[in-house]
Amino acid sequence: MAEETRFPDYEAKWQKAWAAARKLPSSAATAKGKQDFYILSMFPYPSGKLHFGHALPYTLTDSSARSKRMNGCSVLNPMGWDAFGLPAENAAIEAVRKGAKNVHPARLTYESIEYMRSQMGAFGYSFDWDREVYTCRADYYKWTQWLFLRMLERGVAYRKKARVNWCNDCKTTLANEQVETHVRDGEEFQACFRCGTPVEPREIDAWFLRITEYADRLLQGLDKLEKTWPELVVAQQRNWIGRSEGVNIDFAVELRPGASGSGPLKPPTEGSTAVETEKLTVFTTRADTVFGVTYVAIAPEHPLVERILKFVDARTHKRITEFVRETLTMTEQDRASGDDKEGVPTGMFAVNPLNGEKVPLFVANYVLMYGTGAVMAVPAHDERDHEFARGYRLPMKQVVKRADDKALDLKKEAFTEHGVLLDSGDYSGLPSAEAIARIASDLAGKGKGGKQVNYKLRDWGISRQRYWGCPIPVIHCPDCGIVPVPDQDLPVRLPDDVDFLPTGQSPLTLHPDFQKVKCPRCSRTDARRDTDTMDTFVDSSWYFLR
Amino acid sequence: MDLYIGGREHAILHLIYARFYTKFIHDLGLIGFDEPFTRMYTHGLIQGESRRVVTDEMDRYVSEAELEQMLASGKVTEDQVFRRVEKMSKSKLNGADVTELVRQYGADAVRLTILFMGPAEADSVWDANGVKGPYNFLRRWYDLALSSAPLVEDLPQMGPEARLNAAGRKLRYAAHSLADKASVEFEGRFAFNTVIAKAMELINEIRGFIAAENLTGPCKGTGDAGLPSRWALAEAFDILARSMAPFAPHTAEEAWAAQGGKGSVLDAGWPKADPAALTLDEVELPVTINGKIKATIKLPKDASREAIEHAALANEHVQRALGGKKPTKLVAVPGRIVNVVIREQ
Repeated sequence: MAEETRFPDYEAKWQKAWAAARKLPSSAATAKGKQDFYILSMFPYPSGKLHFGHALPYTLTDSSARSKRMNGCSVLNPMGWDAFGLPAENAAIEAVRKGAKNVHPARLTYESIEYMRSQMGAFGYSFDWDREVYTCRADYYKWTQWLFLRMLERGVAYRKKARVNWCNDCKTTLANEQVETHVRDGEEFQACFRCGTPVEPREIDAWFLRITEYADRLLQGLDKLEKTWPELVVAQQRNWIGRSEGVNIDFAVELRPGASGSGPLKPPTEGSTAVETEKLTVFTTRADTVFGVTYVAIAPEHPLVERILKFVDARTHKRITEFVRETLTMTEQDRASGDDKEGVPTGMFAVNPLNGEKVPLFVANYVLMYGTGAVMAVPAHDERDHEFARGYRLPMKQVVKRADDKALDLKKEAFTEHGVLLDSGDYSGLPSAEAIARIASDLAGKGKGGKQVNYKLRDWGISRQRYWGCPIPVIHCPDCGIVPVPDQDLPVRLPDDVDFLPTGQSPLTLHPDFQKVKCPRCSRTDARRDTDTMDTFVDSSWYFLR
Repeated sequence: MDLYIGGREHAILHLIYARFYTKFIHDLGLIGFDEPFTRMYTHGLIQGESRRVVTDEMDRYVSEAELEQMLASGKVTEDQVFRRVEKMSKSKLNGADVTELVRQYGADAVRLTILFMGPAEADSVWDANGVKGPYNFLRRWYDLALSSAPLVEDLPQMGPEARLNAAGRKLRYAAHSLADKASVEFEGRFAFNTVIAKAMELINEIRGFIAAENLTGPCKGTGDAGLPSRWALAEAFDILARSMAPFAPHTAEEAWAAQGGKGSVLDAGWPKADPAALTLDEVELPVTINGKIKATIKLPKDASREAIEHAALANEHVQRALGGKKPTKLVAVPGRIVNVVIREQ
């Protein structure tokens, strides 16, 4: 058996022959009269080694490309590298901490690319290597920056406060996926993945892209893709955009000094005066249940929280502050899907504009800053409110019955379907849909709300306090404020000689020269460059057009 | 872009950001479209089975090889092993090194194995033995292409009007079914596992055909009585190489060249299935006796119900089972099956 020749022994031979044939001008040029076909695999992140997650899509892509060529098409099938990002930076940090010298994210990235390209060669993939794209190269990110400047001009890019997770031990901001849930003494908390220190929420100035302005177009575009995209993907896109039609309802929150969230939640008696009244707008898709509201809850990020803290007693102040801090380190996903719906009573009460009832106001973790960041809670007709109300022994009031009058066990679960209204003043007896429309127009008439469309989609925060990414091409001038880098000065190059070990600041701030720049507008010499880098999702958002 | 291929895990963020950028760039007037990907294909995950061993002394993941040793030595019993199919990861020792597999079995075998695991849109489970089937298939194809090269070389021109016998028509059917299936899947769901299965069937058909038709040595010219059969055989090899070229390009090139194919098989054009060859004029119908398949009968495709019943009763297995009696029940489903029920009196 030792004599047996190795099978197959011809693959390298053909790979060489194909490479040689591709160099012939006849096959390289786009032939006339041929149909063009552009096929692309998502660019890989150069993680070091090819694995099944690569081999499957590339085999599919290569097979399709070859079959299209055999069908007479002129096929474009490039390959490239989505090469900026945290893994290379983290790997370099780990290596340096272990004492390695000369380790740099760029070096790790380019070594990975070389190795993975050779592995792709061994598979016989027929990529157009003469069009290879590296998102981490200046000839590419120059255009990433150029596009950012166009967004800035058009107000699509803007600056606002962003909340980040902060590890005080590592002195760094953490991405959501770098935050882990730990348990100590039976208490869960959010901790740094590296050192286990509890993370703290922090607010920083950051750049955002106004993707929400495109929400409707992003939705409409999906209609055209329904037949050629996987159903699930179209559904996921729709869900992510999360358009919902509903009604805004303005409650009035009475702010009373010394209010306490402890003890029984009884509305203040007539005569005790509110110092101030604050409008609180809630968004609901079920305005027909407004007569069943038994409490109102706001997100911990809601601006009203700050106002409330100025009024409440010391004990309530402490409870709210701690609760907010704890909740803000959780991911929104965990908050929305979590089993533990928790909240703190603020001691304040909100007035229902339709029946004048006063209901307690909570800060709750399951309320997100989506819509208005405030919900009217109807435990009888909403699952999450039902769960929360049971936990906090809050009352439940049925205001919708089944259209067929069948009995309901509301103690067991909420009735969330449309039905017919009851105990709802003038609206009693109306079917849900009609009641929603009537309530919306009545509220609009009274100036207390009205129809509203909301999206789950949020503007996209792209500032990262990390090194291995595309520099943001703006200059901060003490006089002129934010000044875009002029087009002719692009690219703003990412310097190589940067200490990328985490310190708590963007690594680029530690570079001796990077920040120093003359203001392009007023020529002040003490302007400084933005030292954050862009989210790597920005890099991969346009490589297919390169 | 006509077709974008990637993992399902990127189905939300990357795609929504890419679509947003495309709309913005469209609004700048730089491109004439505002949706980037005309067609999107998302593939599933290839997972691996992890093996976690939990005993009083240990609780850790082990490799397949180590587990076999542990079980053989009696150190660990099967009820202490927890197997789970999950995403491949280094720490769980449930991955496989694709490059090492390529080194061992060749790129074509690994490419086919990956495609053969199931429709690519679904998740699948890696099985280290799975590579053997495709590897053996490639080897059989290669050996057969080489050994039968003399049978199909330098054949005189013959058109599709050649008078093929039934075996020849059956071979054509297998070959054209493959070409047809490959075309359908490229435009459809990319369930290339079904295409590869057809190619494997075709190899078996080719083998059987060469033996049955008793083809040996080079063709003796236009007077060769086996010419139609050689022609069918040549066409089968031709379609096999061209249909499989996208998936197993190296072997397709080698097999193509071995039989005197001109240039690269990749320049030979995509095979078009001949609709006339896609229907068999003779079909095989299974015959069940009391619910068990006991025989098959061959009939013209458009045979009437009566003709089918007649043929079924004439079959020797059925005759033996009947022992001269009449069947209690006889139901023929044209194109599908014949059911014979015999009850003891």
